[in-house]
Amino acid sequence: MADVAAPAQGVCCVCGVSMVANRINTCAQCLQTNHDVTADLAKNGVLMKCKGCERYQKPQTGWIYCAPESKGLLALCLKKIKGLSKVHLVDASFIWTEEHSKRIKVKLVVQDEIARQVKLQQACVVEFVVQNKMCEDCHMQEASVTWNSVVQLRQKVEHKRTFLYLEQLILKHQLDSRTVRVEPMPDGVDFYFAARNDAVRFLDFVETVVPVRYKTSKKIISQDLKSNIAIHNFTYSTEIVPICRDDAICLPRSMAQKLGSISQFVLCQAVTNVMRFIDPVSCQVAELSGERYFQQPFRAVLSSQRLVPFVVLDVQLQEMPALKEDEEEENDGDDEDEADAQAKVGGKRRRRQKGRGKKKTRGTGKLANSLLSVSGANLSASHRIALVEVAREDDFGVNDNRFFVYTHLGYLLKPGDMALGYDMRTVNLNDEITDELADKDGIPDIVLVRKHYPKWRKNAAKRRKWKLKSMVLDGKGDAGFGVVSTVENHAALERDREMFMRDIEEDAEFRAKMNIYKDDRPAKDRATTDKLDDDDDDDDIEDDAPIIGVESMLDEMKLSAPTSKDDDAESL
Amino acid sequence: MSKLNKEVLDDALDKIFAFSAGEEITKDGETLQGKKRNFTETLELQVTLKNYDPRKDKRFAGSFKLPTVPRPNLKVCVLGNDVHCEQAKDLGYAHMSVDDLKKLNKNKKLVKKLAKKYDAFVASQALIKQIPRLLGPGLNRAGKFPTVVAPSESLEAKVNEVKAQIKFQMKKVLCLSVAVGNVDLSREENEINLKLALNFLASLLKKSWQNIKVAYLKSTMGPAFQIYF
Repeated sequence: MADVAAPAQGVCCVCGVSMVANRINTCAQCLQTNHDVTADLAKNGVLMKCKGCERYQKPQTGWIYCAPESKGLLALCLKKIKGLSKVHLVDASFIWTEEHSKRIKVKLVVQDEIARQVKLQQACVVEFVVQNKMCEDCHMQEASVTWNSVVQLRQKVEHKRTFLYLEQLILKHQLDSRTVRVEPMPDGVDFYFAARNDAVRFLDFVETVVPVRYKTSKKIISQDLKSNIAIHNFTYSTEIVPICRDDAICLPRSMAQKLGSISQFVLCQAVTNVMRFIDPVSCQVAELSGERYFQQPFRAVLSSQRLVPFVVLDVQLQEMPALKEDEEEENDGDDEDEADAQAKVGGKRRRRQKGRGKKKTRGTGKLANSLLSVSGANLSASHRIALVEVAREDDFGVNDNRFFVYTHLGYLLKPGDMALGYDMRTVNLNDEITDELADKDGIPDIVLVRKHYPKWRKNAAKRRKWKLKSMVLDGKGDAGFGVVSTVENHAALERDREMFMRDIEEDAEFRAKMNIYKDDRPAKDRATTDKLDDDDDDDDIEDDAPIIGVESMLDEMKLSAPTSKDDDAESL
Repeated sequence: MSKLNKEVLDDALDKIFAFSAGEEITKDGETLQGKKRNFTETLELQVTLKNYDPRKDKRFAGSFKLPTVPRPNLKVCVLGNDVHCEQAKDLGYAHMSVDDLKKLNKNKKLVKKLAKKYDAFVASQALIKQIPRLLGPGLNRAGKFPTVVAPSESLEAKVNEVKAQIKFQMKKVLCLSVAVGNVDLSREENEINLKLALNFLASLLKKSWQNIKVAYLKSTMGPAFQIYF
């Protein structure tokens, strides 16, 4: 025990100093002078760093971003040290250096065997010089050859609602992550992509949500004839159909016949990858694909800016011709006499129909059936024809002009409601098909398009408990696609946005396609305009105002301390 | 302008006047004994249309002011604000205020009753906007939706105007009828009223006179005389 407690003393074989005995009989000082395990290590190195994106070059892999004194940077440095594989690395750490010195110092502790079963452990410092080298990406960007393909999306209409809609879809499906740049243009938006595949994928997506046609063209940027390589820029010039929701349309005659003999005057109900039309008088619906549209293009006669409010004075639901067909057959026998009598006495008939509820009379059924056989009608089940008495809101209370119109909004409208519609008497249309149709009396005086909620609308911005996200465009901040405007007219922009919001509120199917977020701001902050009535009370809004339930809203993800880095990442 | 045959019209008017005065007239070879009634008989114009599809074609509606009042005893109700209600009281017209209307509480039966009770309505400008909501479609269905009276207009003038006004309202059937005069009026006045009314109707129609199938003229209790073929 005593031997162990007091280590054996020996003499160094080199300098003769007495020391604690060890296997090779050499003192630590002599060992240090004669052996250097760090001799094979390169004490200097070079790290390449891109000034633009602050990434380091990693051999073979490319460019990676490393925080100062991070594990990743240490790994990168260790990789760079030559001869490190010959020794055993015990420890490595950074020695702090000032950033602007462009030096990174790494302290290493290494071990190596200097004789049989004798290991020497030593520390050393390796210094790296950080040199600037522009990475390929930054280089491309600097040389403004950032993109390889561009999708030029255009729609030649007076409003921007389609683009507001596309913006939401793009955000929902996160298609913006692949774009290099998004630029607003007159009548549309340009999407730039670094890879052609991304552009094609994006285009495929657009094709599934709106009817489009596109032309591809390519421009040669550079070529190497010897190795048969050429670099092209691809352009996809894409045109969205100039038909939007709520537009009034006069179809060319042959087109109307192809669409199941629908009447030539129709309203556009919705635009998805096909256009859905409805005949307001008969509720007949038809769908038209973009492909067929572009074979025989036509323009909308009136679009939603021209909608004017009407007051609904009376609503009389009418027979729906085709839907009652089966019922008709069943009731045939017992109804006959009654029906004939009713057919004679028009006034009484109406009253009786009301009492009978769903049972329909045969008197009008005959007419309906004949209609059906002519058209092979494809009727909308969610609409109901009604004969509605309306007055223009401007006229109402001023003169006695009132109109009877057939409308497809029978289920929606009640006496006293407001509706938006087109007043075809006062518009001046300059269109061949329309003129032809007008001569044949095929255009009604008034067409009701949608229900109107003026009281809700008045302060809708304030009452809305939801919001949308918007994309960041180049040079336009985060205003989103709304800025895509030929004339940068703020009022027009607000109007388009408001109409878009209204569409979202009133159409659940439409709403389901996009993400909407809860808006936690207090009501007065939500309003975009200052001219709000403070005295208005929420009790006064319509009973059936289109208020979106909380269940369809998403919670917004909030970053606690957004740095400039995050903002950049979003914009890409 | 008018496509009415003068002789036929003259004959019809003669006979109507004679009938209502209690004289004997001949119609289609038959002799009819007229009778003097205890009330003023109204002259009614009845028209049937042709080449017109009420389902497909536009439903027309129009009102026209005749030079003389065809039905002086027309009952008019004023649905007015305070000012108009006061005026109506002074002039002796029936009147209702907003509160009265609210009391009806959208009850369909009550609205119908109201519509039946009066022949026409006038309403103040401020009130008329609330009427569809307060009363529902009852008045419209009866074809008696109120006429507007502006604050600046005199109520009396308006009521007289409403009395002189005739309305054509196309419904589901092809028959129309309208009062154009009464037997107390002079023959000329009746004739002018009748002609104006028919001309106005023709102007509403798509093919004017070609859309009119037949027109009859009759007094309340008398036989009908065809005046247009």
